[in-house]
Amino acid sequence: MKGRMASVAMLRLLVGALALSLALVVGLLLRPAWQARGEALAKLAAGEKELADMRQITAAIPATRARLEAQRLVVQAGESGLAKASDDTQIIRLIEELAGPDVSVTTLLAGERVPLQAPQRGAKGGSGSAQPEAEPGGSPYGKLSFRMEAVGMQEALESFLGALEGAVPGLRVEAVQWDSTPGTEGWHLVVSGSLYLIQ
Amino acid sequence: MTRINLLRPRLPSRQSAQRLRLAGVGAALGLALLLSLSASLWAGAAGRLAAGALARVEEQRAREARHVAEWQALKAETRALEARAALLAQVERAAVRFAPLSGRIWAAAPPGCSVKQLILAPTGELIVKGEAESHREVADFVDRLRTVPGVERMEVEASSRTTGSGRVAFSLRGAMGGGAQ
Repeated sequence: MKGRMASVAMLRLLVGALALSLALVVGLLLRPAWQARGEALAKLAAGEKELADMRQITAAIPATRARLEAQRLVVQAGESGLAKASDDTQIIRLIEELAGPDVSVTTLLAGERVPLQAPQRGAKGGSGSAQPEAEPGGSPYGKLSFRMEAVGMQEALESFLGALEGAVPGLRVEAVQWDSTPGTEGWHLVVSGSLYLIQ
Repeated sequence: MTRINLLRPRLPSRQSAQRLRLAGVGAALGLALLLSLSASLWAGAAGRLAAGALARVEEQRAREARHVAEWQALKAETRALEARAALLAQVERAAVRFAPLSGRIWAAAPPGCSVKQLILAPTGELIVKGEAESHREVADFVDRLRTVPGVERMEVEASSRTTGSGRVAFSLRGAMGGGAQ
C-alpha cells in the first residue's frame, strides 16, 4: 500500500515537472522562435517585393534612355533654330547683309528681354498633359521683342522680309506694315516680332 | 457454505486509477513537450533560413540600387529636357511667314488697283488700303483676296471715289488664316 502511494506521488511530481517544462519551452523557446520566424518572413517578403520593383526599374532603363535621347534630339533641333544671347551683334550684321544695296534699314529697336515661361496648365494652346517641371536655374530661353524699319522698292523689301524670316535664327515675325511712300514708288516696311534666345 | 472469490478484482483500486490518469496526463504532456521542442527547433531553423534569404535579397538590392540611381538620374534629365521641349514648342507655334503672304496679296491686285498700305497685325488682323479705278476693281480685288491661301476672311470697310484724282480709295479688313506659312 505504501509503495503504491509513493508511485502516485512520483507520477504527480513527474506530471508537474512535465507541465512546467512545457510551459517553459512554449514561453521561452517556441513563442520567440515563432515570432522571429514570422518577422523574418515578413521582412523577406517586403525585401523581395522591393527587389522585384527595382528589377522592373532596371529593365526600364533602356526605354528611359531611348526617351531621353529622343527628347535630346527634339531640344537640339529646337535650339538650333534659336539665337544665342551673345549673337546680337552678329544678327545686326546679318540683317544689314540681307538688306543689301536695295534696302535701307532705318531703325532697329530691341525691347526688354523676358524669360520664356511654360504655358500654364489649362491655358489656351497648352496641352492637358502633366506640367513639365520648371528648371531650377530659371528658364533657359528668353524672348526679346524687336522692331525694324526699312525702306526700298516693294520687290526688294519683300525678298528682304523673306530672307529675314528664314535666315535670322530665333527671329519670329509677328506683324508687318507696308506703307507706300507718297510721291515715289518706294515703300516703308515696319517689321515687329520676337527674337527667341538661348539665355 | 462459504464462497471465496479467487479471481482478481475487475475494478481497479483508487490508487491504480489515479496512477493510470496521471500516466495518461504525463504521456500527453510529454508528447506536447516533444512537439513543442520540435516546433521550436523547426521555427528557429526556418527563421535562420529566412534571415539568410533576406541577407541575399539585401545584397541584390544594394546591387540594384546603383541601377535605380542611374534610372532616377535619367528620369530627371528627361524631365528637364521635356520642360525645355515644352518651351521650344511655343517658339514653333509662333512661326508664321509673312513675306509669302504679302507677296500673294500684292499679286492678287487686279490691273488698275494699287495697294498703298498693308498691315498684317499680330492679332491676325489684315488691313489693305489702296486705290482703284472703280468700285468694280475693288470688288474684284476682294474676291481674289478671298481665294488667297492664308487669308481667312476679307471684307470691304470703305470704298469711296475721291474728288481730286477721281480714283476710288478703298479700305479692306480681314483676317489671316492657318495657311500663312
